[in-house]
Amino acid sequence: MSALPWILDGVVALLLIGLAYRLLDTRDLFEATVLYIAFGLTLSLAWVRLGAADLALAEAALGAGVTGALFLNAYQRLARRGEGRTDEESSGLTVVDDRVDEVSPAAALASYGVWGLIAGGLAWVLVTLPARDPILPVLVDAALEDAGVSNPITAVLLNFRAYDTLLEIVVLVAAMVGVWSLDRGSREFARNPADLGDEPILGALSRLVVPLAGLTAVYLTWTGAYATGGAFQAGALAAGAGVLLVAAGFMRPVTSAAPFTRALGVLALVVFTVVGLVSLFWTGLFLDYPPGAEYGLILLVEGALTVSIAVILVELFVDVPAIPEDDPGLRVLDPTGDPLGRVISPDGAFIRGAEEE
Amino acid sequence: MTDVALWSTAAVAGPLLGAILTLVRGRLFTQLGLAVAAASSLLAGLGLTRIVALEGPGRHLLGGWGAPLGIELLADGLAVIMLLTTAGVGSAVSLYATAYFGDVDDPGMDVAPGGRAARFFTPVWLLLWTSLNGVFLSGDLFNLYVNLEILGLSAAAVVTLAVTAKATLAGMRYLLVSLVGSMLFLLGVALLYTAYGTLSLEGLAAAGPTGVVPAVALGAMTVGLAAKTALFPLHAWLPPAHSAAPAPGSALLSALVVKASFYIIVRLWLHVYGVGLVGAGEGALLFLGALGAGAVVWGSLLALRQLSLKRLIAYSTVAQIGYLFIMFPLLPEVAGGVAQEGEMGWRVDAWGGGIYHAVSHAFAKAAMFLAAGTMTYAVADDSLPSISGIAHRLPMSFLAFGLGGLSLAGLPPSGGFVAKWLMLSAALATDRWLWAGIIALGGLLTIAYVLLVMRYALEVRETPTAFRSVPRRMEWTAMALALTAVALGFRAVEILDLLDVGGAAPW
Amino acid sequence: MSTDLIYLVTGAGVSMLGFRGFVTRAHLFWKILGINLMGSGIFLILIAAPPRLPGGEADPVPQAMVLTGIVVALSATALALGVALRVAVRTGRPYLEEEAGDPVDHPTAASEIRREME
Repeated sequence: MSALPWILDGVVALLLIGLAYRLLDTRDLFEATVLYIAFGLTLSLAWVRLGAADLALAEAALGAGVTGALFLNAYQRLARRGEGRTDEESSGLTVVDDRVDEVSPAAALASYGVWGLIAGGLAWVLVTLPARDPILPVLVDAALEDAGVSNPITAVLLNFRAYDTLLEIVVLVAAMVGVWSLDRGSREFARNPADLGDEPILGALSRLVVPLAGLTAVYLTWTGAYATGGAFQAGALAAGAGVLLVAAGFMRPVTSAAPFTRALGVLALVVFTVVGLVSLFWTGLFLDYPPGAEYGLILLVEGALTVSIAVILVELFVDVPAIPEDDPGLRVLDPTGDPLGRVISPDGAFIRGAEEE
Repeated sequence: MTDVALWSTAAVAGPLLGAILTLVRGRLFTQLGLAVAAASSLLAGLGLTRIVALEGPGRHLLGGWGAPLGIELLADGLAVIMLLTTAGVGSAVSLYATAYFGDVDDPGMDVAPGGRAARFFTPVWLLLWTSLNGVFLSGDLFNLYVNLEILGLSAAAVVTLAVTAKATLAGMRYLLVSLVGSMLFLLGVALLYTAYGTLSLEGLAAAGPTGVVPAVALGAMTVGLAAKTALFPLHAWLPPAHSAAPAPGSALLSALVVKASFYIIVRLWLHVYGVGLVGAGEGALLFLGALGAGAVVWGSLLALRQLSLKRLIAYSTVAQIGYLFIMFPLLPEVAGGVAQEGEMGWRVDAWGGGIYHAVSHAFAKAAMFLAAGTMTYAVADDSLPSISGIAHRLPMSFLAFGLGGLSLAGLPPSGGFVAKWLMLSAALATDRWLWAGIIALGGLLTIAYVLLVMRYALEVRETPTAFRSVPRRMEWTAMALALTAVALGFRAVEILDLLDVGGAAPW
Repeated sequence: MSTDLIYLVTGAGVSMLGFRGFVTRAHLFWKILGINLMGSGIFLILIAAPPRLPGGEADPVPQAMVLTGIVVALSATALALGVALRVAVRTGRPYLEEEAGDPVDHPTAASEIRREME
């Protein structure tokens, strides 16, 4: 056997460790963010090496791509918060961690040593674990015929363990609702739409990339049934196109204020739950697709998933709370003792709402 | 379609559909969504209870595959008791919330005080409810992980509904702790899957996990879940988070959310690892108990030193969580012998006592937080001096707080009394005087801090400078919960019999 | 097998580096980065540790789990960053400030109010 794969794996592994070390060690938030994206891309190489092509695609699109974009977006907002402020506590300090205690090299070494030992111990107990035969993969293989799709991962995601995937969408929706609930007046997108006319390249790029991305998303959704691909990767791709459209000014940012956005965001939940309930009344078990209808129903769910994921991801990107004008009353001190920030007048009426415009 | 399938689906899909309804058309459907969630949860709890009581534990093979390929929902005595508790507390808190947050149908909602919190409380809480029911029914490790993440995100979002700096910081801390806890849980899942090739709780229990890897897995999962449960000394996040949240949120977090991660600890320790623990794991059980004892003492002492009402109640939660863990070293398998009849015809049963405590604490603590929320709503301040004399203004809320405190302190007749009595007699039956002493001491300290609040509330003073009239609904929902906590003291036999279905015995 | 071994060790290393970062860094963004890396490390373990099929393919079940995990981590990151930004707005700094006067809140105010009441 040639040594090349060994060297390749070794380089990827060292890169992963090195990037992780560096991005957690630096004080510069921008550097950390960029290194995090690099880490995600390297990780997708590792997935390829481990024979998990679906993960490589998902990691590049979601792990490095969307998560990286979320970090960059938040970074930008934090940095802008530092800009316009003159008092000592700002001047861009928020994006440089000034709370790292100086430690001697010996102390740092000791700290990494201890954590390294824990990691080593963890790896050691796993490596020395007696080998066992694969159990679930055999069952997956045997049941694949009745699953309606031939990609085993899609079969696990949308048939054998479809309930997990349903709840996974609930996690995504919970995050979206959580972000919506955070702040008011935060729907300012990172780019000012008025400046967009000056960006001919962005516009041209969008005209080129967005249709391609849309097509690829449809293809990925459809192909997930029998090959690498699936709703999550497709949704991430479509979300990327959506963000580009918003950035280039072709589309107004979707917001929770629009009922249409909310409806599309929960579309996958509705479709998935209804499919589950229909199966319940048809076959007697939740999510037990009626025989013969598996492929159609899975494709229906996947399509809805792609749409909802794309909408939610765009929404999460656009709707990360902006830094609104400070309400001095809400800073540091809890002025009222009322958890909703209300102040009441002597006659018992609330005189200042928390969210007064 | 079997009844188990129908009702277990309703338990999860009901709150989920409610959440969807409120998300699509907030103003119109808020109350409808809450009604759908509450009705389906209550019916599911009752329906499953009937099945479990009459026919024994039920299971629902989701997707028709069955474990280990698919995911199973399992309903045994413990699961249905937790479902019913959640349905009861959740319905009452939902009713309270509709009044607390004001009229959601009000077209001026967007600019009204606290409007955003009012609009988003319902969907966030219904997603939380979905995951609570999901946790209690789940028979699969990875499915538990996904449920835990819904739980963690939505619970943190409940805290950050309050807009103050304090609440934002508390919510941030809670979210971070919760996420790291989930990661440790996931690490345990990865280790167990590597070792046994299955994610089904029953499958793992059948394999009888012993050895280094399962021990490391249990350790990682327990630390993660203990952090989410706020077991001493990992409790520091709880008092700020539970006290800063809007009152209905505080009640839900203290009464139900911490119980979900505790429930998973119980499942793992007793049902999945059960057999292996009797010998080698005894020291570990003792360790959990010691942390519980630390929580009882430390949490109670700090509760006595608080000057803010909701913070006092939050520290009381830290203390009462301790009792849940004192259960472990007193379990019959460890103490040598099965549940037995005590001298006065009482069962000597730490297991029953621990779970009874989880249930009665849920009702009592929810009642106390709701009553406290009513008081702070009236005066828009939650420092203890500011509620002085409130007993004369809001007698029903004051009484609800007192009855909740009665149950919390373990005074008869109440659910808390049954719980503490069971644990105390289990400790005494095996001559564990130290544990008995801590259980009793915790009760005394509880009486002390409940009395402290009552002293302030009863004070005869000039009327507070500002007092807002309180919707009646906020008063009687707290009262209903407090009365339930007391009533639990009269229905102990039935509930303990139900708990025996599936029981503490390993599967 | 050797590829699995390399990435298993890498996964353990990355997850503990992430955990360390979470514990040691005070800045909220690094805490969130730490949690994300911890997750990535665990995902690596989840794929590299279980036995492979005779043909050498990776077990599809952990792959599905990691796919779910990636989406969950993304959701958690989005909410955490949102809350972190609000912390920056409300307190002026993106750090997890220690609470003043914890565990007893407002000790001076407390004694004063007590004195006043007596």
